[in-house]
Amino acid sequence: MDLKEIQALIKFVSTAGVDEVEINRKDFKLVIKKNAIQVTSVAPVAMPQPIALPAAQPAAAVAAAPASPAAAPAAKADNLITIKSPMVGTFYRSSNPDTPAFVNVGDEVKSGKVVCIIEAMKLFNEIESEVSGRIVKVLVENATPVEYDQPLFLVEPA
Amino acid sequence: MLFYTPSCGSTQDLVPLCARQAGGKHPAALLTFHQTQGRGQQNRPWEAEPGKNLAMSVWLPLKNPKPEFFPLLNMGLTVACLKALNQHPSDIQIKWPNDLRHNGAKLAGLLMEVQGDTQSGKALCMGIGVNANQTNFENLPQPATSLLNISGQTHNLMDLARSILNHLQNAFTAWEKQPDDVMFMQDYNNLTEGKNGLWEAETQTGQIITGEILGVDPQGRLLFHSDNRVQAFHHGMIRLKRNLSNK
Repeated sequence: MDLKEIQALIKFVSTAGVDEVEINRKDFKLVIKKNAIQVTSVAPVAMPQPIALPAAQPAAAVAAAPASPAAAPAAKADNLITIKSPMVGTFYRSSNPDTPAFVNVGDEVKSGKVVCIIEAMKLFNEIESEVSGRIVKVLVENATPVEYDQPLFLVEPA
Repeated sequence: MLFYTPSCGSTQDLVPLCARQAGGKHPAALLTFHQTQGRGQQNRPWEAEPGKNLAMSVWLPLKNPKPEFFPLLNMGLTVACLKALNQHPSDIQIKWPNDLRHNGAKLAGLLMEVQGDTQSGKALCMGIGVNANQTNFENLPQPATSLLNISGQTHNLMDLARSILNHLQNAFTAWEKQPDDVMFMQDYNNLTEGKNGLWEAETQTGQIITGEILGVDPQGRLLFHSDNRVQAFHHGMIRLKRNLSNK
């Protein structure tokens, strides 16, 4: 977040009719109050939480996708590579509710294969695997919000 | 390069072929005035009366994709479409995330998908449906209107398409120069329907809440002030049902 963005948020809060807005990012927390501005650095966390209070409850899983993430047995934890979300948005395991998930636990993937979609404001962004290997674990429920850099999949490299 | 077809299933499905024909590395657009299988988000159908409305998909190659700033691109392109249409009636507004409405009735809808792969290059594929010269919108799940209904004038669909493309090109070029520019968000928020007015909304759990729209944040989340707190909702986590400020 740069100064311009912070200034825009300050302006936003000053005209929004609210007393306080809190934003948590990977490496900092920003609290804007009507009568005081406080920027606090915090230690990076694995899964940054969204602004202020949590948003609504997760959506129901898309029919074609498994109801809950599952792990494959017999993968060495220290050898695994994490595919992370490059943006804030909603995680989808398939391109639409009537099609199968892009990948399931146990699937072999090649570098460049689409593994999921992250959607924000009806902009659907296909996320590719950056490594070749086997999907060991799906870390996020279908149709739920994800944060920047949030781990999505564990892959055992080929 | 601009392609035209008298009729097609979905411009969104065909525009990648047009882009390849145009060389693959340059912007391309496909437009039709009769789309038979238009689709919205997650393949929801989009209906358009033959010959009266504009359906168009635009292919914009992303030289340096930065997903964290895609919401700002989305906002910039949504505002660009609004400005193109606003040359006709002048008080069109945005209903989050990217519907364009006039007095609470839907005038246009947008859909954006990032396609392609890292190796061959990614592109933004943007679908636009505009109600231009249709006048009958009965039996629709939500109120709809057209430029003709609003202005009383029939519109040349080709001119309309050119105007939209010019505005999109300008916004896209600006975003490529500075993808983190919060001006995109500020413009978007200034044009948001019912901002600081009262809305009825339904959350993912089915709970009906009322509150104020404060705007969107840089990640495209809706900031909704209800019950003395502000919540940031992702698209799909809340549905704006009624603008209670509309009569």
